[in-house]
Amino acid sequence: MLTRRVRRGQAEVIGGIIAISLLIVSTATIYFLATSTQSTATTEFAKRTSFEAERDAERVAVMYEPTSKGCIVSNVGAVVITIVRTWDSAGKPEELKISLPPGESISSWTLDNAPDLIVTSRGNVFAVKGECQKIANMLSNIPAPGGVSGQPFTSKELINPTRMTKGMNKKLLYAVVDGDVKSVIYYNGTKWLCSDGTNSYYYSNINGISISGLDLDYDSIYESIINDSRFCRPLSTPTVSEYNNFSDSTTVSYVFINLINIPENGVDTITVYFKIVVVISLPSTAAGGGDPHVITISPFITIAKGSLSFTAPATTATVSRGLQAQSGYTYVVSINGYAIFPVRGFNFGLNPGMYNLTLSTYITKKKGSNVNLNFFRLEYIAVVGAEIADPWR
Amino acid sequence: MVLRKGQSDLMTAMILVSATLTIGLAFSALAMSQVSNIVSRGRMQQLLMSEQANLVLYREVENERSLCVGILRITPSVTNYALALLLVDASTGLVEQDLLEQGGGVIERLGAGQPNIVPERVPASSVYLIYRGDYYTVPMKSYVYIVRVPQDIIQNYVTQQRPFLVCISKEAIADSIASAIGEGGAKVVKLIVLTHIGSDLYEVGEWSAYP
Repeated sequence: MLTRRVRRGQAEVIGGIIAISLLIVSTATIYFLATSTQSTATTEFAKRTSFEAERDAERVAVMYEPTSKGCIVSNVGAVVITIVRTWDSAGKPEELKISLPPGESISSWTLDNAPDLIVTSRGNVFAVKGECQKIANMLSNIPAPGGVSGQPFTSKELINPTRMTKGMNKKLLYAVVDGDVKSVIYYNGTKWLCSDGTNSYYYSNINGISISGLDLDYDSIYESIINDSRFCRPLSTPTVSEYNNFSDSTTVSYVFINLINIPENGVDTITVYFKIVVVISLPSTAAGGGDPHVITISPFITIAKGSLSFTAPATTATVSRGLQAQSGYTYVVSINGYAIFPVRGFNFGLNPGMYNLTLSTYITKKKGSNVNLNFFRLEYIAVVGAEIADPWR
Repeated sequence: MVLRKGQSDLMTAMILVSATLTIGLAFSALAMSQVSNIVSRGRMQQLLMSEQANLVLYREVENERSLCVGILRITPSVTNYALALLLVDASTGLVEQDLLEQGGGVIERLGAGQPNIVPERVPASSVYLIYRGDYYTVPMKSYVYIVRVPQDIIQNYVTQQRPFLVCISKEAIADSIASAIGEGGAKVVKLIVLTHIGSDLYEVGEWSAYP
């Protein structure tokens, strides 16, 4: 009796052990899998987070050295940067490998041969040539006592003639001379662009104006010119002429529609920087001949939205010099200026939103002077304290 | 023939033991198969999770003519990738057009060179895309066209922690996009990076661009 009961118990125990073992093995396998998955997730995402932190820590500063026209690229971040690719201005990539430890610089590039973009091994893309050129613009008429200069603005706040042709709605720009609307033409290094506020056209070539003549102040930046025509023509190679029929007392405006976007909780002041280049000529026999200061140039900036309009006069610094390769009394005058708008200083307030920007310049001659204003051009405009609105980016 | 009582008991016991063994083994096999299935899927999820975490896609250059996307594996390793380019309805996630069906000209640059790329047709049932966190095969398609990333790019870029370039010709896909947009609804162009697991291809990263 006792033996039979033990045997029956043995079978149940063995069966139970097998079932429990099976359960334990299954549970353990799934448990270890879950643990391993969690561990993989933690490890991989920690690795990715660390990578993103390093990627975010990559910082590059581009500086311009006016003496040698060098574009200096410095690693101002906390991590070693490896440049793995560059893009030239023709849109061609070049594979390379340059390691740039923190604090070190590449100084072998000049304004002519600097790449448009550099790409790092962590997938960051930095603009070089454009940044360098913008700084060169700013410094073109400023003596450089100490060599390397700092970067005055961030790239997104600056619009220059090169930038104007990239990714913007080109119908948004036109000029007004004494009440007459004129179209504006500029060249971006590849093609010409004409904008009259209603239409815009690209031209691969034009007659009547040479590319080399677009850089009056020899700073390697083409100026935008006022076309002696109300509308741009939809031709493949139009003939155009630069407007030069200015009266003794004239007002010239460049109108940028929806250029500025004032953000919510922005800064207290908006500053608009610009550079105008004009050419004046003085007959040698005329009264005041040889003196370019017989003409007064007064720029002011207007920011407007709907029925609201805010205007501020510009503070300017002017440099005039005899125009190279021209005899007689012809002067190129560079006017660097800025105007400040206190965002909260007006009764109505510069509320958040899109604003038109107009750069107007009142030009008047000294009485009795035979001085002539030949050309009026805009080289760049920059906005600090507000965003450049999307259509212009 | 009359069985004796002992014989009858023995046969009953044998039948019961056999039945118990059969049921026990079947249950064990079923349980182990389920566990094995769970483990297998778990391992695959781990692998995909790891690949997704390792892959970085970013826009390198974009102009009127093309869009260049950089693809980087942050941990160097020999991993084979394939690319798909799909036009997707932004609201439903349904694939509307396979843009590589037009030929290799759509991808104008892969890596350093400009190879003559010929897309390869694979069954849609072997391509798994991510939609809201889960993997699904490409719906309403029999085949999907893919471009396999060549071994020299794997060796020169992926295993050396360098981003490789994929440039999509906007001109080549302009007509397809224009006709799709004409049909209404927001569309999105997706460059999808796939990796091999067994004989199937699984999405591990994507770059979306609104046309």
